[in-house]
This record gives sequence, C-alpha cells and structure tokens, in this order.
Amino acid sequence: MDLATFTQLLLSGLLLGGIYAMVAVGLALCFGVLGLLNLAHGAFLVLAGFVFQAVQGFWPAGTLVSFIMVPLFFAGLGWLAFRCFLQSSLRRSPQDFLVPALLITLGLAFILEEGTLTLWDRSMAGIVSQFDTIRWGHIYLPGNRLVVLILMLTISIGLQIWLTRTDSGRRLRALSQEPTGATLVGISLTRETGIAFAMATALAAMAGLFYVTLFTVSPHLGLPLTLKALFIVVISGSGSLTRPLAGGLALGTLETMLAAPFGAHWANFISICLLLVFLCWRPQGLFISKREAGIG
Amino acid sequence: MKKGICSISITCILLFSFFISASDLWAKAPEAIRVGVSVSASGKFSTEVGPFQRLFQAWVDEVNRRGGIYLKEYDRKLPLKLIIYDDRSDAATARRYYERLVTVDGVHLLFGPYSSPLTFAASAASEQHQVPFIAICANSPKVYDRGFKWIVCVIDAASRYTYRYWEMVKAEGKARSVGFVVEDTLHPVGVYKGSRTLAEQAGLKVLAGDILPPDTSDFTPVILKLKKLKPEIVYVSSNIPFAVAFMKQARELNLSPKEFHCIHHSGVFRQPLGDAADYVVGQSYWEPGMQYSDPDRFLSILGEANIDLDDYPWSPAYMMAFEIAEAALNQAGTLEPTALMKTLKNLRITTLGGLVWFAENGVGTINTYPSQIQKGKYQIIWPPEVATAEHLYPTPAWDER
Amino acid sequence: MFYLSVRHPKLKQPALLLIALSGLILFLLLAPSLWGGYARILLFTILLYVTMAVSYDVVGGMLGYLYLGHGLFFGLGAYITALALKNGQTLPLALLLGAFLVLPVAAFLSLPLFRLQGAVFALATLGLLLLGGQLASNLPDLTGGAAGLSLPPNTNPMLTYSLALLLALATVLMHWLLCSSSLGLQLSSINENEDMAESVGINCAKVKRLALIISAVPAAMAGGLHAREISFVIPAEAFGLENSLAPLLMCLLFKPGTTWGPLLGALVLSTAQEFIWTTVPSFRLSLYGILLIFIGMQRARRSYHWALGTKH
Repeated sequence: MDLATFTQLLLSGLLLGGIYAMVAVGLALCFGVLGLLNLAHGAFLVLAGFVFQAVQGFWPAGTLVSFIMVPLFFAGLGWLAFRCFLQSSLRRSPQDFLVPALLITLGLAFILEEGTLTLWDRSMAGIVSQFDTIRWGHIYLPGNRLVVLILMLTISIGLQIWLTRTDSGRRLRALSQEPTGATLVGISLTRETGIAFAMATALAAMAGLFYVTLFTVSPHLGLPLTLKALFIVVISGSGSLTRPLAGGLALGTLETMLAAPFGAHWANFISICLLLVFLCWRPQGLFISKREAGIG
Repeated sequence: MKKGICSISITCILLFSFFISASDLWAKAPEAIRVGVSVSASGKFSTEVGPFQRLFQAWVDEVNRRGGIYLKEYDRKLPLKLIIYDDRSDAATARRYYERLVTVDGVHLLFGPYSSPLTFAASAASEQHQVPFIAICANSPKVYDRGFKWIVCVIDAASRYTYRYWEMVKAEGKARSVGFVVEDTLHPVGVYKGSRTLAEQAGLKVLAGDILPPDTSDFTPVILKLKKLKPEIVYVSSNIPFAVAFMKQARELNLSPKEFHCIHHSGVFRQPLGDAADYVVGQSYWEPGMQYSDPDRFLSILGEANIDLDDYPWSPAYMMAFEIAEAALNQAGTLEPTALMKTLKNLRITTLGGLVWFAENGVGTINTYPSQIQKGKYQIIWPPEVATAEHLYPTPAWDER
Repeated sequence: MFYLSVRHPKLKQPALLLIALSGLILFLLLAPSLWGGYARILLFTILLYVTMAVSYDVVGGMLGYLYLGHGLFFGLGAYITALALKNGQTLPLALLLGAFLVLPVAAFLSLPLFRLQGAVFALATLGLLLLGGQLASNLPDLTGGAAGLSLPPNTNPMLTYSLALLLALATVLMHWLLCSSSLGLQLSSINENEDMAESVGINCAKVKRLALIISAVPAAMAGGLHAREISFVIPAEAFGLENSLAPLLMCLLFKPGTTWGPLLGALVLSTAQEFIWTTVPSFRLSLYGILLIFIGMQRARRSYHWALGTKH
C-alpha cells in the first residue's frame, strides 16, 4: 500500500467516523447522560430526512434556513412527544424507567415509521450533495463528509461546554449523578429531562439532514440506525458528549482501514469483535478511566 | 396466579372464536373469483412495494367495472374479489398468511409476495393445498428447483437478469473489461453470478468482483481498487440505496470508467444524484414508448393506484402478472385448480413486457431491457426493435461534463 | 415476600390441574385437524414465541439483565439444524444436535459477558447478534452466505407442530421447576443484590453461566423448528433483531421472573399482533405502537406502586 492510498483510506475512515458520531450524538445526550433509552431516535432522523427533502422540493434556495428551522421544528416535536408519552412515566431511577422507556419509545418509533410512509407515500428520500470535493494531488476530500466532521467537532465541543460550564448543563449532570439529591435542591426532573429530550431530537434531525444528502433514508431504516447509534454510544462510554465522536472515529477508521486488506465483510466482523473485546476489557467504555467511572 | 389463568383462558377463547368466525367464508358457491396476495406494507420491503395494495385494488376495480372475467363453465362474467394481507416483509408471516388465504379464505388463485425468500416460504402453502400460484418478483433458482408443480413465475431467473445488456456489449464490441461491485443480498448476488459468466462469454475480462455488506457506508477501499485496475465498465449489482451511496462516492473520488451499470437505477436513484445519474445504464421492465400489449391500460391502472412508474419500476412486472392471470382464467374457463394450472403452464401470450411462456419448473420469460438515463429520461437502448434511443458510450469523465 | 409466595404456589388440587393440562394438550393437538393448516401454523408460531419468551426470562427476568442476545441462539440453532437436515439427519436428531452445539457457545460467551452490566451488557449481547449475522454471511461455503440455506419441503408438518408443542411445554415446565428450585432462588438473589449473594457463598459466575445455558438451549431448538417449518434460512432473518426483541417485549410485558408472566406475555402479544394484522385494514403498525406505549405507561405506573410498597 503506497502512501497516497494509505492517506486516502485514513481520511475516508475519519470522515466516516464523523458520520457515525453525527448519528450517535443525540442518543449520547439522551441515553448516555440521562439513561433514557430512546428507540425512536432513528425514526426521528428518517422523518427529518423526508422533511428536508420536501422543503428542498418547495424552496430550493432555502437550504441554510432549513438547516436551522428543521432541527428547531424537531425540538418542538420531541418536546411534544416527551410531554405526551414519557413525562407521566418518568422515574427518578433510570433503572425503574428503563423498561417503560423501551416500550414507549419503540411504540413511538413504529408510529413515526408508519407516519412517514403514509405522509409521503414514497419509499425513499435522497437529495443532491451540497458541497464539492476538495482535490489535493491524489487525495480527495468529499466536501459533504468534511462538513459533517467539522460540524461534529464544533457540536461535540459546544455540547461538552454546555454540559460542564452552564447552569442548565450542570442541572442535567446533577440529575444523572444523584437524582434524589438533585430533586431535593429544587431541580425539576421532568423539565430538565424534557429539555434534554428536545435537544436530542433536534440533534437527530440534524443528523437526518446530513444523512439524506450523503445516503438515502427509508422509513424502515429507523430501528437499524438507532442500533448503530446505541452501539457507538455504549462502546465510547457514557456521561460525556465528546466521546461519541472519539468512538465513531475509532469505528470508522477501523472499518475502512481493515477493508483494504481483509475485504469489507471481514473488516466489519473484525471491528465489531475488537470493540467487543475492548468492551470486556474496559466495561466502563473505551475512553473512560476506571477512576472516572467510579465517580460518575 | 388466578389472574394469569383467567387471562390465559380469555386468550384461548379469543383464539377459538377467531378461527370459527374466520372459517365460515369457506366452501360457498363461487360468486366471485377470489384472488389472494400478501404485500409487504411494513418492514424492510415496504421501501419497494409499500403501496402496492393499491395497485392490486386498482386492477381488481378496473376488471370489475367491465363486469369481471368471463368463465365458460358458469357462462357468465364473475367479478374478482381481492383478499390481501401485510406480511411485514417476514417469511414466517408470509407463510402463515398464504396458508390463511388458502385454508380460511379459500382463494382460487394466488399472486406471490415480494422477494425470493418470502416466495420460497409462501409457495409451500399453494403446493400443499394445490392452488395455482403466480410468483412475481422472485427470481432465485432455489424457489423453482424444488420440483413444485403449482407455481409459475412471471420473470426469468436471476442469473439471466441482464443478459440483453451483455448481448449489446458483445454486439457493439467496444468494451473489453468489467469490474463488479456487488451488494451481499440474495438478488444482487444471484445477478452477479450469472452476469460474471455472461460477461466472460461476451469476451470481456473480469478484473474485479467485490461483494460488500448491504449497509456499507464507505466505498473508498473498493473505489481505490477500481481506480487502479481501470475496468471499462463498472457494474454495480445492488439495490437502490447501495447504488446511490456508491455513485456519490465514485463521483467524489473521481472514479471515471467508460460506463457505469447499476442494475437498479430507477426509483429515487436520479433524485439524490442529480446530473451524476446521466449516462448510467441499468435495467427496466418497461418504459413509455414500448408497444407490446396495452400500455395505455397499464398507465391508467397506475394512475388510479396513484403509483409513479419511476418510483416503483417493478410495477410493470405486476401488470404482466395481472395479464397472465386474466388470460389463464379466460382460456381455462373454470376455477377448477387442476385445469387452471394446466392452462397457466401452457400459456403463451404477449404481455406488456413481451412474449411470456413458462418452462417446466415454472420460470417465465419476462426479462429486463437495458436502459440508459439520458438527460434525466429513461431510454431503452437494446435490442434495436424495442430501443427508444441510441446507446451513449463512452460516458464522459466527471470533470468533462 | 411477594416473590416467595409466587415462587412456591401451593397446588391445592393437583388432580384438577393435571386434567386441565391434559385437556389443553389434547386441544392443541387436535386443533390443526379441526381448523386446518392456518390454525396449525398460527399455533406453531405462538408456541415458538412461548418457548422464546419463557426461556428468555431465565436471563432477562430471573437474573434481571437487559439481554438482547437471545436471537443469536435462535439463529445458531436454525443454521445448525438446517445443516444437519441437509446432511440427511432426522428432525429430532438435528434439533438435539443444535441444542448440544449451542451449549459450549453459551458457556464460553458467559465468561466475558457477565463481567458487564446494564446497558453495556445489553449492547454487548446485541453486538453478538450482529456478529452471528455477519459470520453467517461471511462463510458462504458453509452457510450459503446471503443466499442462505434451503431445505426440501416439510413433508411432515404435524411432526414439526407436535415437537413445537413438546418444546413449549418442556420449557414452561422447566421454568416452573426452576422457580421453586435452589438455583432459581440463587438467580433471584443475584438479581436483587449481587454482592450480598456472593457474600453468602453463591458462586455467581457459575450460576449465571448455568442460567445462560438453560436459556440458550430452548432458543436454539425453537430456531431449529423454525428452520424446518420455513425450509429456508438466511442471515437477515435467522439473526434478525426481531428474534431478540420479541421475547424481550413478551417477557417484560407482565411480571418478569415468574413463569406465567412471559407465558402470558407471549400469548397476549402474538395474538394481539395477529388480530391487528388480519382484521384492521390500515394503520396497523401505529396501532401496535399505541398498544406498546399504553403497556409501557401502565408498567411505569405499576412499578411505581410496587416501588412504594415493597422496595428494599
């Protein structure tokens, strides 16, 4: 393997990792920080893809506006879904809430899936890439994927700062670490969780906007995407919002780099195996030290 | 515990009444020709045939508006009655619903579900209870190798799916090498295996044959390999989402062969690719401009079902199945299964996609035509007697467009 | 206290129960000949669901893990049985072979798996399910790859059906006996407090390994029966997420950790699904979704009451 091929593979793997992280970051906020297992994550992502395509169809010049409006709209939708279905079942201990959350969000995912299929009456959505490829000698950097990676870096860092430095982020962390104590000092469990759920839905929607320009989305893709995201959240470890990016980059690079010598099938197999072995070695997640896990 | 026993008995009673209420449909004198089918309205195949319930309904309505189908035995026209279920794209569920169609609903004729695995499972019901079964989109040889006597299939075997394309390549004699990129699911792999042999017979050199997982989201390794080997034709045997993702990356990484062939290049294909979809060659069952049978009737049924041909390019195959069913019922003149099946097997009619007849094992003769996207429109390019436009070859490189 | 009273139900009238049970078996055996093929296949499906849900409960309910790997053993069983049948074995022998070969797999996997907890355990088991599917498509010479394995048609459907009935009954009986055995008590004590269980001398690792094996064997045999009935095994269906998710939902629906909970869950959920899909003309998936949401909200309310009354 010559240097150009190696560099190209490495870059492609990193860019793929950006996409993985993008799909996972909403779930990392919801599940990784709050312990709220949201199986409707992928369904929101797919729905956002369809909405984006529809907006593009009506108003081709409004790309930038819809990049802001669609996630905002989905934040509202997420908040509504939370108020209607989840709020009354919310419990202080994530353990008590796990099973109801699983049932409720799975039900929600089914409703969203059929809703998307019925509203659009089309099986797939996909739109033309927005950015050109950057060429540098024999190395190609696809614009869309590059934007995703850069955006992910910004979002991850921004979210991490929000989580650690702002009041509302601190309230969220307090709830995740010591729910009883946090509610005793006057933090509203339902309000903070609702805000986090709305944010997570907005992030899912944003992922949907990019996903639909990179690939295609179909209504039945919701659950597989949720699983992929869950997998990335768990291998990267919970509690932080920069880790999904690290986990995604690890998975993407492994898959792409291994595919050249072993073929794509065995590359997927080996990378899942490697990550599972890592997981057994460090059950608290790849990027968390034991000390940190003890505190968190 | 008591509550548990109570609920168990309630469930049992529910189940019980369920069967009894369902079984009185059985064994009535035929007031209508009952045709049964399951369509994947949910699950993974909903992408491909989700709204086809409407297509079946539109066909039945159209036939019934003309009074139905004339059967000699009863000397009158009998209307069609459609019984339809949603198999959730699951083989076990499809098997169960076909058994229900046969034993509970007492259908006279069955249409196949979507895909080979589902048809494989479902056709066991028709074989066991001896009901004629017209398979549609199921071309894996495994389905027909079992010696079943009650099944016919509209379309030809998967291995011959693109034989007209290889005929064209051979006749033109311009291309000399090919590289395959294959999605690892049943149908694309079947097409690839057949095409590889056909390509070699057409005198082409096969430079690569990579089988990739269906959810591949980064094609860099295989694209770099193809750039090094430089095949003149890059042949993508896959479903639409895979082909879209591949084509996007081929453009981004500047892979420029003389021709891209994506076996499925319709549906949503053009939308995400934009002008990158131009020049791509693929396969179509039927495109406007072909003049077999009655294209206007097909278009009016499609219109009534509100289904877009470009979104669902396999809908012509369903229309051919309808035409076959009508002709078989008409010629047999009876609903007696053995006679109907015999007529079906000996049938020889011109349908929307050309002449159809069935081999001993039930496999039909309908095959796809190579078509090229030219300025956003699908044009059939081979054979010359049905072609609607010239084949544009070679494809200009990405930066020369 | 609540647990104990459930674990040791007093059989006031064993004779009556025995009569009821044999009546049920007779009914189930006669049903196919009374109502034809559809009844047979529907009951066959429900019996497989019962097997899957009740065997899932050993790890997912009694041991209290959120466990997503049940489909792995179902898929393994399906492939092993299909391969054995292809090589000319009889069905019972092929099923036993599937069960036998799954034993060491479950024993081996339990070593790393039970070091994990909570969501990480759930996702590791999910990863194993994905690996199973990958492996099946990566070994085309053995498994036929994505094209799958096909078997000759099922010539003796009543045998398949009777075996499914036998398997379901055996699984329920096994679970019932397990509940009142010392192993069952050890499992639930690990569920409640693992450290405490370890400190009173329970070999947790061994008990958990046994639990995984006990849960895996019926699942493998269910997979084998499924393969025989459908006569076709492909990776996407044998190792599909549905095979892990359905038993999980059925087990969690009522009271996990009891015999009647998953049994009833399987009966109710599969009947409800069949009822919705055969009688409701549209919006079936949404209706099913609403059903799940309703159950989830009910459960949250109920677990809250339980927590108030009995917790710690």
